[in-house]
Amino acid sequence: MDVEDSKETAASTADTSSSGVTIQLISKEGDKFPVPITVSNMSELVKSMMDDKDDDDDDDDDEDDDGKEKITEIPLPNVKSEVLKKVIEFCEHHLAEPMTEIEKPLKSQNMADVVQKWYADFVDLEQVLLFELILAANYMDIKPLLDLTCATVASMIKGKTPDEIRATFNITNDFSPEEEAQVREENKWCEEA
Amino acid sequence: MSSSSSSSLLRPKKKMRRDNNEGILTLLDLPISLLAHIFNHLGKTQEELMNLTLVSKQVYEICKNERTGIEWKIIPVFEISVLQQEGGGSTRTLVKNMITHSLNRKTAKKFRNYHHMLVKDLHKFSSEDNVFSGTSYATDIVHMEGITSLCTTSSKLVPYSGYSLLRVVAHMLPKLREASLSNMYEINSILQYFSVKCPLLEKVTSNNNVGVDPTMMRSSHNLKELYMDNTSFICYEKEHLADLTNHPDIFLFHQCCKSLERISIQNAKYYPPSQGKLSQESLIKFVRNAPPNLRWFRSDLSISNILMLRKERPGIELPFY
Repeated sequence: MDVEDSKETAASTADTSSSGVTIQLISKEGDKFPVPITVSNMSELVKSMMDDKDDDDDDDDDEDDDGKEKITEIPLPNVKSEVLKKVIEFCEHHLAEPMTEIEKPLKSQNMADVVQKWYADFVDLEQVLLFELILAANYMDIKPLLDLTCATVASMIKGKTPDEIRATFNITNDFSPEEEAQVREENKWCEEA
Repeated sequence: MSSSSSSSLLRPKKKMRRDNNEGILTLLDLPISLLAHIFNHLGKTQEELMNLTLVSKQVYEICKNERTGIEWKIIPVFEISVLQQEGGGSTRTLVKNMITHSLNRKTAKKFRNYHHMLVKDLHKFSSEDNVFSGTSYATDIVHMEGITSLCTTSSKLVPYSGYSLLRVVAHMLPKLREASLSNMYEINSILQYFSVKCPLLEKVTSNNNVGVDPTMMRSSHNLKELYMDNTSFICYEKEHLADLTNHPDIFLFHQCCKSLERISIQNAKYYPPSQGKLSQESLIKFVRNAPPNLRWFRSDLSISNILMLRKERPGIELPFY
């Protein structure tokens, strides 16, 4: 990923924000992503960190001594730049077009049947990035992103046989044939007559 | 095998298993709470969940351990199907097998864990005489008390030949609460059997049946939900059922509706079906006389009659399609 590109994208979005207040999200690598507070507030973690900062700075005004607006920095040491860029992309889009709530259980293997097309395209990712997004959404406490990414993984499981699930996620079958038969029997007794 | 007993047996030795991708984040590297969140999006079918439990020991543990946050539950199924043989499935063989299983302490114990019974391809079971001489013996021995729901499947109308199997099943399931018995030709004797042998029966779904006599369920004192769409009904007092002025005690389901809360009889016809659809008068008379516990009634009532009845019986939801 080109971190410089991502920073530019995020920064340009921040500049066009109507709120005027910008937050700097700092990734694991130390890259800074300026985002409008409306975007960063999608993260409950960032929101609560901001609240804490506000309490600390209660008596201060919002400008530096030289009159420039203060930019609050929020370190996110668990989130890589590549992932943070995707998180911000999600949050920005969510503000413009909120994601429809994902029904449980999933009705389809195709995410385009579950959420709007933009969101279905958004999670059309390599598995590793998808899992990292799940961890980031969980850490940053962004519920719609967590739901979307988890539902996407579930859609990759849905309708598959155990062998197909193992192949999809590169999981080793550690059941012995007897144990596997035992689990099958536990789920279903087949009586033929 | 219960999940608690199986847990220790199937507990994975390692926390996670990966193939040649050390250092790369994989599905099973995610914390258990997140895996549970992922798996909670599944469950449209029980098959989907059963397949999941077979993936690996770690996945099995997450699915079966109540403390992981899994919201769904696998309902263990006892499935009866036709052995591939000439002449179709044999109820006699089933009875014989069930007696053998029940006399085996280990198997009998296992049977307590199954909550749902599925009879596949009921129409393929052959007709057998004297099957009940064995059945009466079997019913003294075979009691599947864990089973609370039953579903039969058939790709075509089930002939009488499939009924001996259902009689046997009714005897074996004293704790049955829900039965789905669709695509039957003159199901009455079966309804009567279930009505008598399964006193806890609360819900019957029996669509696409021919010649149903609702009075056959009069012993089902706990019956709360009845779904009988696309069904033709035997109505011995057809004129009385539709008489809005006289015979106030005679109306549809009058002998079996004391506990009913939800009824669906869309596209209901008289038997034989050549006599046409149930009249609006019979449907109106039923709504007017239905017991106070009835909350929902779906039928072919016209919109004008629905509007009229909504004022008379505001406590009954009358959906219009």
